[in-house]
Amino acid sequence: MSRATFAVVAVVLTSALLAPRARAEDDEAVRVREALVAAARQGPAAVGKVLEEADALVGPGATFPGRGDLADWLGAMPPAVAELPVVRLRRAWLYVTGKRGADAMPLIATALETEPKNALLRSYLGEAKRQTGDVAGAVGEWVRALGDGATDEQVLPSVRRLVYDLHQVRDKDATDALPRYATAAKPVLDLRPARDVAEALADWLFYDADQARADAARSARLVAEGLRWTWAAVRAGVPEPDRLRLARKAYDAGMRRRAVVSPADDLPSAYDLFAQAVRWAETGTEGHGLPEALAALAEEAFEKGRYVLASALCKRRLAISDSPTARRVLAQLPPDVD
Amino acid sequence: MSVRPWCVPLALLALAAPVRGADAPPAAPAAPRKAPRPPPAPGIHWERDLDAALRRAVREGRPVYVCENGRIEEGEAGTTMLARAVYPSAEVGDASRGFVCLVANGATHATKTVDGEEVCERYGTGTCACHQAVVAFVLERFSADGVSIVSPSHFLLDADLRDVYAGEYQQSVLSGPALDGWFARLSPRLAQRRVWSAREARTDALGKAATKDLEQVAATWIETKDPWAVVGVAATLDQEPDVARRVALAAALGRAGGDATPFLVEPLFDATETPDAEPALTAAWCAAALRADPDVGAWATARALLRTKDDASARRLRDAADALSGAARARVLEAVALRSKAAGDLDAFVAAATEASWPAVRVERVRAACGRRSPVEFGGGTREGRRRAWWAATAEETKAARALALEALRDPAEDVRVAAAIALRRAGDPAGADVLARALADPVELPEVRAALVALTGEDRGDSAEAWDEVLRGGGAR
Repeated sequence: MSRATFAVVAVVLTSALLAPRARAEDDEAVRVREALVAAARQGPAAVGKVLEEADALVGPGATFPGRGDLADWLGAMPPAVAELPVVRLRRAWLYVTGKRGADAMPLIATALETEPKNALLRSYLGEAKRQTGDVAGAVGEWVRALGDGATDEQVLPSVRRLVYDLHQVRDKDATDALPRYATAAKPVLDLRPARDVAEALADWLFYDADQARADAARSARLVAEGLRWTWAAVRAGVPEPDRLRLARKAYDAGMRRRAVVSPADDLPSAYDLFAQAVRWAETGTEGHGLPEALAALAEEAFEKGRYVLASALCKRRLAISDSPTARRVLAQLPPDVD
Repeated sequence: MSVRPWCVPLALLALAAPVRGADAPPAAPAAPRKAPRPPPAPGIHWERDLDAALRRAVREGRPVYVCENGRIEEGEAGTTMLARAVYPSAEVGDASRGFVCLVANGATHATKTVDGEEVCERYGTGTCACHQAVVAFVLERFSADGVSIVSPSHFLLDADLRDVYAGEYQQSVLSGPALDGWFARLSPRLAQRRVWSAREARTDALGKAATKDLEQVAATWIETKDPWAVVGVAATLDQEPDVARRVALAAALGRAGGDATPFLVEPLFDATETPDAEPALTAAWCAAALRADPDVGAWATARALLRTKDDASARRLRDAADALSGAARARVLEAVALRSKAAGDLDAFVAAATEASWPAVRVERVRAACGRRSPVEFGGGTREGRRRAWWAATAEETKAARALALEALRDPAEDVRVAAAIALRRAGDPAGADVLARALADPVELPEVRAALVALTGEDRGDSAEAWDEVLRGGGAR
C-alpha cells in the first residue's frame, strides 16, 4: 500500500469511527426517515405513528444504542419534520427516558409556553431537572404538575428515583440537619402520599438514627422524622399483603415514640401507632398477628383513661399467651371495668 | 406425671421381655419401628431463625434469653468459657428449656448434621445465619452507640419482647436457678405446667398433705426459696377442686410476697368477677393478695367489694382498706364510692386519689358515676381536638355539647370522632351513626362502642354493625 493510499484509508476509517452513530443510517433508519418525511405532509397523527415505529431503531445491535441518540437523529431531520410539535415532544420524552435531561429541558420549556397547564409535560420537566441535579427545581415542577392534574404514574416514579439517589449520597449531607433524602421530596409526598416511599424513608431514618446514637441530638432528630414517615406509611389504606409487615413497623415505631423525651406537636402518639399496629395485624379470629401490640395499646389506652378498651385488649392478649404487660395493666383497672 | 430417668431402661426391658405364654397365638408381624430418638443434647438449644423465634416467644408466652458471645472468635477467655462450659451444661440447658434462646455471634462457622438438621458446629444447635442476625438485633436493641456492645453480655425479654434483664461480662450469665426464677415470673402459665416434672416429689407431697396441714406444708416449701415453690403451690391450687384446700393454698401463696404476684392476677380477676359464688375463697384470695402485693390485693378487694351483693362481705372487704395507704387505699375507696355513690365516700376517695397523684380522668369518671358529671367511658387525651371531644361528652349544657360534638365528628383522629358520636348517641342524637357503624368494624374502637351501646340499651347485640343499626339510628334505647 502506497503512503497516499494508506492516508486515504486512514482518513476514511477515522471518519467512520468518529462520525456520530445517529448518522450511520442503516436501511431501516433510511426507511423511517423517508416515512417521517412523507407522514409530515399528512399530519401529526401519521407522524406519531411513524415515531412509534422509530422506537425499534433503539437497542442493542439496532441503529441507535440509546434513546438519546434517536432523539439527536430526529433533531437532525429536515425542519418540516424536526420542528413539528409532535416530533419535539417525542424528542423531549426520548431525552428524558435516555437520562439526558439537559437536552430535554429546552424542548419541554418551549412546549410549556403554549401549554402551561399540561401536567404530563410539567412532570417531564421535573424529571429533566432531576437528571441535571436541580432537586429543588424538580420538586417545584412536580408540585405544579400535581396541581395541574398529573397522575401518580406521571410523578411518583421520578420521586422514588430522587429519594433513592439522595439516600445513596447521604454521607455528603450536613449532620446538623435532616438528610436531604428525607426532606427533598416532602412537598410532593404531602400532596400525593406514596406508602412505599414513606416506608423506605422511615426504615432509613431509623437505621441512621441507630448508627448515630453517640450524637443524641442528631439521633433524636432522625427518630422524630422516622416517626412522621412511619405514620405516613401506616395511617390509612394498607393493602392486605402489606398489613402485617406495616403493623410491625407501626409497633416498632410506637416503641421508639415512647422513648422520645420532648415530642414535637406533629409527632404521632404511641397510642396512634400501636392502634394502627393492632388494626393492620387483625386476623379476624381470636388470635392476632401481633399480640405484643395488643399489650402495648392496652398500656396506652390505660394511660388515656380508656379503661374499657384497655381491659378488652388485656383479655385478648392473655387469651393468646402469657403477657406480663397485659397482666400488669389488668391489675390497675378501675374496679367497675369488667 | 413425668417419667423418672431410671424408669426408662426398665420400661425398655419390659417391652423386650417375652410376655406371652408358650401357647399363646403367634403375634401379628410387628410394624417396622423407627429407631428411638436420642435424648436431646444437654445445654442450651439455640434457635435457627431469629424472626420465627421471636414470633414463637410472643405466641407461646415464652421469655427470650439472648447471649452475646461474639468475642469467642478472638479466643476471649470469658466468652470461650461460657460457650464451652456454661451454655452446654445440663443445669443451664434444663433451666433454659422453656425459653427461646438466641446466641449472638457474627462469624460463619463449619456446619454439621444433627438428626437430619444442619447446625452450626461451634454451638451445636441453631444456625450461623441466625446467630449472625442476632448480632444486628442486639446492636439495635441494646447498644449504647448503635455499633458496639460488651462481649459477653446477657439479656432477657419477656413474652411481649420487653427488656427485663441486661448484664455485661461473664458474671451476667444466668445460672440454672436464676433462669428458673425468671421463668416463673415471666411465664407463670408455662411454669405451672412444668413444675409437675421439675418438682415431682414436692408437688406430690403437697397433693397428699392433710387439709389442716396444707397451708403449713406449702408455706414451708415457699420458705426454702426454691424458685419452683410458688409455682408448685399455684399449680396445685389451680388443680384443686376442694374449696377448703384452695383457701389453704391461697393463704400460703400470700406468704410468698411479690413472687406470687404473677400467679395471682388472673385467678383474682376471675374470682372477683362473681365474688358471691365462693365467698370464703374470694375472701382468702383477697387476703392472700393483700399480703403478697398490696396494690394487687387492693385492686382485687375493690373489684370484689363493688360486685358483692352481700353487705356484710362488702363491710369486711372495706375494712381491709383501713390498713392500706397511698394508691392501694385509693383503689379500695374508689370501689366504696362507686358502690355507695354517697358524698362522704366520694370525698374520701378524692382525697386518697389526690394523695396518690391519680390521673384526673380516673377521678372524673367516679365523680360522673356518683352523679357529679355526665357519664364518661372514654378518656380525654392531651391534644386540643381530643380535649374538645371529651368536654363535648361531659358538658352539662346540652346545646353547647352538641355543637362541640358535631364539630368533633370531623376531627382527623378516629377516637375523637367515635367519642363524639357516642356522646351524641347518648343524648339521643343519631348524627354520629355512620361513625359508630364504622367503629363497630374496627378492632380498636369496637370494645368501647359496644360497651356504650350495651349501657344505652341494656342488651348486647354483639359486634356486628347491622345488629346495632336500629340503635345507631336513634331507636332501641331504654
